[in-house]
Amino acid sequence: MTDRALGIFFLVFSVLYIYFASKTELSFISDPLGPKKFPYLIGFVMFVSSIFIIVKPEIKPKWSSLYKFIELFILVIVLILYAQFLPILGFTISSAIATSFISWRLGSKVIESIIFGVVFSLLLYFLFHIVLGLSLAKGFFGF
Amino acid sequence: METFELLLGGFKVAFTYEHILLALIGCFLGTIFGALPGLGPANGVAILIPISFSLGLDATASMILLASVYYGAMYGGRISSILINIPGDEPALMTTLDGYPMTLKGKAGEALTITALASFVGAFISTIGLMLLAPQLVKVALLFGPAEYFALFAMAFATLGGVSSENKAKTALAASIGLGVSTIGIDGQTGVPRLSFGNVHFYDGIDFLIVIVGMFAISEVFVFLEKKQTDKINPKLTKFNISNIFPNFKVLIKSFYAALRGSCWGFFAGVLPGAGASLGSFIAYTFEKKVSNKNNTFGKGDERGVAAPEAGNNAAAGGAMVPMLSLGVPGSGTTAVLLAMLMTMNITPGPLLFKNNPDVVWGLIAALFFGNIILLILNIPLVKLFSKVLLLPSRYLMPIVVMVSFVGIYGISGSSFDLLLMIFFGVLGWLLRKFDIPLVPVIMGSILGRLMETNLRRAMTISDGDYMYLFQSNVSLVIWFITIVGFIIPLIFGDKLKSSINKLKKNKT
Repeated sequence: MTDRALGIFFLVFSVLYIYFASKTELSFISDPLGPKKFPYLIGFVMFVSSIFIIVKPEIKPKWSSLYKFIELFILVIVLILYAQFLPILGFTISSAIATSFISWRLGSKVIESIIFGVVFSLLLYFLFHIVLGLSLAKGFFGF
Repeated sequence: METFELLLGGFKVAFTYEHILLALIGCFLGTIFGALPGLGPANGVAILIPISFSLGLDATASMILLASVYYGAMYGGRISSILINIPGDEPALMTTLDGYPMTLKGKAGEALTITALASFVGAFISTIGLMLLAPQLVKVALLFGPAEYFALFAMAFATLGGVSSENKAKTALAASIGLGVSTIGIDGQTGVPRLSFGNVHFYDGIDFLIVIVGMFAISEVFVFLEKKQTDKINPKLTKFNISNIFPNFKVLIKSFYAALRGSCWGFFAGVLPGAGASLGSFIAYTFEKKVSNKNNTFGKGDERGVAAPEAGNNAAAGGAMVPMLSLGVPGSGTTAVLLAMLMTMNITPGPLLFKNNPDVVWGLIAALFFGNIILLILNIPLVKLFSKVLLLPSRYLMPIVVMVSFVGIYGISGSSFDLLLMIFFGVLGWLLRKFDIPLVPVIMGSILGRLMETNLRRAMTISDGDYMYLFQSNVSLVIWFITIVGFIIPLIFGDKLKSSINKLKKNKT
C-alpha cells in the first residue's frame, strides 16, 4: 500500500512540476524547442512511471517504530542547526558538537563521544585547514 | 605503435611526486572504503570529489586520486567478504560464497592473497582493454551529432542496472527525479530562470556534487542510525585468524586461470551499457563454476571460486571506464560520479577529451597501471592492517563520513545553503531507498540532465523543430534499437536472473 502512496505522491508532483515549468517566462529570442519542452518530457516520464507504480505496487517498505522516526528527525534537526550555526560558532566548535551528538546517538557512551567529537574536529581542522589549506567556516571566534 | 607512445607520454604525466602521492593515498583510502561494510566505491569517490575540488587539484590529479579510490575499493571489498561473510560492497557479494568457507577452514590468509592476485590480474587486463578499446570507440563517437548523443543518453538510462535491474518503473521514476533536478536554474540557451521560484540560490542550478554527496554519504548515516540496534555484527564472526598468507604453487596456477577467465567476463560486463561490476562478478563466478566445479567443491571454499569473481569485479571496474571516457556516458554509479568530477573541472568526457586533453586520459591510464601495482603491494603484506579496519564501529565511522562531507561541500562554495540542500538530498536518498528506488539513476539524471537537454535542443535547432530528425541517421537508429531492447529484455529475463541472485543472497543469511 505504501508503494502506491509513493506513486500518488509523484503523480501529483509530476503535474505540479509540469505546471511550474509551463510558468517559465520566455525570453524574446528562443531556439525552436525552448526551455519548456525538456521539463515537459521529464514530467511525462515521471507521470507515466508513477501510474505504473500505482497499478502494480511491489514492496511494502518496513517502517521503523515511531521512536526511530523521532530519532531520525532529531538527527536531521541537528544537521540543519549545524549548517546554520557553522558561520557563527566556527568550524571547530560546531563540528565537535555535531560529531559528539551523532556518535552518541549511534551508540557511544556520553564521555566517549564527547572526547571523540573534540579530538576528531581538532584533527579535521588541523588536517584540512593547516595542512591542506582548505577554507573552513571561521565563525565568531576565528576557528 | 601509436598507443604505446601515448602510454609512455601518460607515464611521464603520472610520474610526478604529486601524482604518485595521490595514487598512494587514493589506493589506501579506496581499500578502506571497500573493506568497510556499507561503504563502497561510489560512496568513497563521492566523499572525496568535493575535497579534491576544494583543494584545487587539477583534472589529471583528481582523476588519478579518484580512480585509485575506485580501483582500491574493488580490492578492499573482498576483505570483509572473506573474513566476516559480509560483502564490503555489492560486487563483492559473490566472493563470500567461497571466501568465507575458506576462512572457516583456516585458510583466510590464502584466500586474501589469491583474491589480491586475482584482483591484480582483473584490473591489469581491463586497464589494457581500456587502453585498446577506448580509442577505437572514440573513432566511432566522432561521427556522433547531437541527435545521436541524445539517443545515447536515453540508452544509458534505459539500460541502467542491466539485466538484473529491479522494477523498471522505479528506475524511470528515479531518472526523472534526477533529470528534474537538473532543469532547475537559469536556462543555458535563453537565459531565463526556470523552476527557481525567485530564489537566488537556485539561479545557478543545483550543483550535482551536492546531490551526489547527499545521496551517497549523508543518507548512509540515516540508514545506519535506523538499523543501529537491529543488526550488530556477530562477535563470533570477528574472530578470524590470518596465519599463512602463502598458498601453494599448484593452487596459484589453478586460480590464475580462473582469474583470467573471470577477467574477460568482467571486462565484457563492464563495457556493456548498464551492466557494471556486480554483474561482472556474478557472470565470472557462474561461468567458473560451470567450467571447474567437477568435484563439487564450489561453495565449500574452492580457491577458483574466489579468484574468478574478484578478477571479474576488478575487470568490470576498468571496463566501465571505457564508455565513460570515450563516450561521456557512464554505465554505473561510480563512473557517473567520476564523470561528475570531470565535468566540475570543465572537462567534458567523450571523443573530444582524447583530442583536447590526452594528458588527462593517458595520465589516468598510466596511473591505473601504477596504482594497480601499489594496490597489490598494499593488499598482500598489509592485509592484516586493513582487516582491523573492519572492526571500526559505525558509531565512529559515520560521524567521520558526515563531517568530511560537510567540509568538502562547504569548501566548494562556503555557503550554508548548500549544506542545507545536501541534508535535504540525504533525507530524500534515505526515503527513496526505503521504497527500493535506486539512487544511481537520480545521480545520473542530475549529472547528465543539462548535457542531454543541450543535445536535444541543438538537434532541434538543426532540424528547425522536426522531431523525426532524432531518428534519421542509421547510427541513431541503432542506438534507439539498443535502448528499446535494453529496456525490454530485463522485463522478460530479469525475473529469472533476479531470483537466482536473490537465492544466492538468501543462502547467505
